[in-house]
Amino acid sequence: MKKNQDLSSEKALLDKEAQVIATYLLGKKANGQVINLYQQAMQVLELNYINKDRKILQLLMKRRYLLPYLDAGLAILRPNSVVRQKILVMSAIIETQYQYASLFLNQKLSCFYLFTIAWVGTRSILKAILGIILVKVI
Amino acid sequence: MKDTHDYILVGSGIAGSIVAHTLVSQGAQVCLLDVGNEDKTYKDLIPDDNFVDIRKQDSEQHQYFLGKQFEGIPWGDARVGAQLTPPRQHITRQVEELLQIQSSTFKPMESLAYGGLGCGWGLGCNVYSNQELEKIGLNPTEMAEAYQHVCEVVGVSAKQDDARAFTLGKVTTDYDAPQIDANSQNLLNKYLKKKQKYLTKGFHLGQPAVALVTKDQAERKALAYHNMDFYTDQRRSAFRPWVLIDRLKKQANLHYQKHAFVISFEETNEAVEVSYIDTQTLETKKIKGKKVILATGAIGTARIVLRSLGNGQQQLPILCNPYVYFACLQPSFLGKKTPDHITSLGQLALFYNNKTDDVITSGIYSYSSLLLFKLMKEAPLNFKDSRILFQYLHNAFSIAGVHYADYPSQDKFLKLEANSQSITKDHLAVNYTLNSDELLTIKKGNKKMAGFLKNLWCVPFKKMQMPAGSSIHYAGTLPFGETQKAFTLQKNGRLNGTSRVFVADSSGFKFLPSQGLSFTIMANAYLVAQNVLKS
Repeated sequence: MKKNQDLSSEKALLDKEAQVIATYLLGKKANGQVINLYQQAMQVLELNYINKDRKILQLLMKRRYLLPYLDAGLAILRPNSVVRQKILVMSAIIETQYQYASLFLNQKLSCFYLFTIAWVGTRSILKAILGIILVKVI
Repeated sequence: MKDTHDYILVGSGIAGSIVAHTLVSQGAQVCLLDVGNEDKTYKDLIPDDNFVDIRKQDSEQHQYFLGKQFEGIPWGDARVGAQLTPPRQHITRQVEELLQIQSSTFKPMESLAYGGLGCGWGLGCNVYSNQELEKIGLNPTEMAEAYQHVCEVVGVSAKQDDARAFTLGKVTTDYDAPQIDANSQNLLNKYLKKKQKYLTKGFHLGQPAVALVTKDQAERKALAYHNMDFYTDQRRSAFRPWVLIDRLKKQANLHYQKHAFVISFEETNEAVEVSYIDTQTLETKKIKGKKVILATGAIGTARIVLRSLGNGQQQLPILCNPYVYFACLQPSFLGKKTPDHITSLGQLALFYNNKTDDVITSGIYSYSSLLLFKLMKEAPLNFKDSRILFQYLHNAFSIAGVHYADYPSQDKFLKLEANSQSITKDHLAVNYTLNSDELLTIKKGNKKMAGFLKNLWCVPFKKMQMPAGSSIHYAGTLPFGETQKAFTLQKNGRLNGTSRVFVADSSGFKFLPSQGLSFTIMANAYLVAQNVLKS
């Protein structure tokens, strides 16, 4: 009985984690298959957690708005951390869903799009600065 | 099965398939021993469709792009073969278990697949110059005929352009070169505008000769420009050694023995007894042949020969092309949409020949059918923003892989060591260190190649010196010799110290030019098979 309860709470946690990461990457709720595949992947892949990874994950489940900053900070300080690996897995799953293919496939874009790129580049640097501070503090 | 076979052939890769074809088509009775791992998981899942259409329509694409066990997502320390897509990962299956290597300086890729490393071959076909062939220990006149024969067997498409001297040379073919993508065409156009200047400086840019058919050949279908070349060979446009073995299996004089992992051989007066492990039962079995032809690749053959004839102390040389990657950006392609119907194979080949040093070779590819998450993983950015940036940038990416020639030296060797943990009770210890002169040659070569690319507005922004062994071009473990010295080969491919054992792969090559060696391995394998029939 207790084992069943543990399993269902673990599943609920994984479900929440999948929702948080997918929403961060897509800007909206992901479909059910994305969540299912993420759960399958987490069961198959072996993750080498260190204490800091657990702390960051716990924080992210409570304060999901910190994810872009922590992702950016970890990209510089610990690119192979468990949190980054989880986001990588979710990115890969989303990329292979036909509903989201247009987000990844190459498209014709006007030269004004360069301004968007410049903005995204600047934004990602700012996120990285904040993220580095956050990762060091946690 | 017969008690003693006429010919026992070991290995189904590029050398083995050509030997099998040569022997079987001349009526010889051949027993082919092979582990023969195949992909049975993904091959029927992949639609015969275009990459972009699949991405937009197939709800099951995650199965073959990521793998059923998510093995297509790079994870932790990069292992050998990690770059292979899930449908190609059978190429390295069982390798860590059966082909153990201990080395801190050399990371080779080996294969126990049906078709060997040829299952993932980039298909580049290059003839070597007479001077290069002589340095290797091969006869240029015989090789000219062998190259032509192999070209007809495997089906090679090529163009008559500035690269031709280094690709097919005087070998003729019926297949036109495939169309190249817009990025590559753009580079080629820029080169052609100042062609004389570049030629004077020693740069030759053109299309590579590739072992694929651009019109139907028997059961093989013409290249369909589906851009799924890294995932499937379902149309058999690309030459894979198993295409040939599949054909030969229909003939009564080929016996294909699967799950046979060959360990060693022992020669008697009348025959050669070959020991192998049945990879299903792990039993050791024996089989006899009047003649044995080893074609398991320079490293695999060295293992078998060291186990059979070595004294435990023997060191053998090893050659491997040093390899450097340049990630480049073509700014004129930023934000441009390119056509969907393209191929990932054989885009451009660049050769630098200053006539005093060895030729430097580069293959130039686009990042058109790989998934963005692999690029995003490498970027020091948060994933959300890097997706937006790479969607814009990736069409402008080109990758130039540069190969350098290799010579034997006392710092490049392998030997067999005891290992009680291994199934074969041994492992191969390899040392491969480049000397200061070789490093300097590579440094200067990198500068030349990067300078040329910059001139074409293909700007290198990252250089990656790949670990030794990653070029997957291996040779020279049992060099051709003029004497009867042990652990060398006679010109006809016979292993010195034996009278019935022949080697048909690149083990004999005394020098490794920078141009891909596969076509030369196949041509040499054809000659060895002819010699085996004659002797």
